[in-house]
Amino acid sequence: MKIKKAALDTFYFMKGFFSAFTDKSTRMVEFEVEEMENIFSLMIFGTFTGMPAPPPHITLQLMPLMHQELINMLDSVETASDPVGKLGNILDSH
Amino acid sequence: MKIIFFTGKGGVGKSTNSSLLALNIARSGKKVVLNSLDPAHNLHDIFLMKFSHRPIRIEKNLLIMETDLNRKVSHYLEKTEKEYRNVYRYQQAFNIDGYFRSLRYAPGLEEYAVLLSIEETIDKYGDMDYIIFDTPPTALTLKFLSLPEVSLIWLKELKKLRESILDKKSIITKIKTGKRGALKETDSILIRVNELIDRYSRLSVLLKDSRRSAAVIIMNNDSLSLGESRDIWKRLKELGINVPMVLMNRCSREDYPVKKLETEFKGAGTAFIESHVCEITGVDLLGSLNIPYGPDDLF
Repeated sequence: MKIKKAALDTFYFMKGFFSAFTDKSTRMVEFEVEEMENIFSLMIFGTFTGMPAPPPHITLQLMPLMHQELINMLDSVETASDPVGKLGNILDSH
Repeated sequence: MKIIFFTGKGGVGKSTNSSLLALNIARSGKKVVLNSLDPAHNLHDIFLMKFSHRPIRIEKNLLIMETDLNRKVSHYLEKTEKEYRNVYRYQQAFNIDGYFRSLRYAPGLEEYAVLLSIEETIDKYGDMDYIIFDTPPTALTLKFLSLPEVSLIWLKELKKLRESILDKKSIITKIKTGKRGALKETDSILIRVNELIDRYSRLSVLLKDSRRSAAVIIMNNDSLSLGESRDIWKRLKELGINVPMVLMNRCSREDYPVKKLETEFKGAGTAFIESHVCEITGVDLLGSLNIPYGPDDLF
């Protein structure tokens, strides 16, 4: 029984260890993807933000599909005033 | 189906000459649609008939219509607004009404409406032999003719970025779950971008195909219309649109040297149309006039 329990403990420990490891290893890529998504949204919503924008008909045709991207962009506005803090948070976790 | 655009400075005779060619072709037994894209339509004054956005058959082989750009913009915005309302239900905060009110006057929408009208005419009347467009003033014409290319530049950049995002997301999924997700095939944004790329590529290819599309530049013997015609010629060449004919309207061969015209518009055929003693209006008068060129000179 003891051996079985020890084996299970080890299994769960290793599982947790690898899960944390994969989480950490992907965090930078996830951050990069998030930023790329923000750039993509900014390109589409450029009309609203005063940035160079595609012709309005392209924006109009893509916006109905960009519900989530719009929410992400609005969320990132909250942390936009503290980009160094956000970056530090990611680097801290490594 | 072959497409002909009549371009030139305002007042040089685009509508009259597009009407003359349309009638001429129709009476030779070919089926023709003549569509005025000019917000200030003239075709009804030339044919002395009432036209609308719905084509009217004035002869066996000739359909005529006048595109209502305001109606087109309204219709397009209404359709889009409906789609938005389904998605952005929290529109109180987003102020979707205000957004659409201001969009009506957004730069770029008028030329898009013209492009929509061209696409619609091509789709609906693709079985006709010729579709002739009487174009709006030069600035708007050059904008809508550039629109497929400009749109493609943006769309290709958006596609590149979106694919890069999806590739990275796919890598993350693979690391975390061990499975590679089929993100590119299911991503609705990428699918829409690809659909738009296909649509504008088809239009761009059609406009650049000298066997299917031609632009005729019309001018008068005055420095302003000549200057503008040179600009149109240069821009159309940049866009890769075929200009097989340059028409000198209300001018005889004695008044302007042919050689000079041929040098300035190298590669294009030239034709002179002399002033008529009276206004050219009504089907009878239009049908009685001979024109010094035909569709075979354009394709």
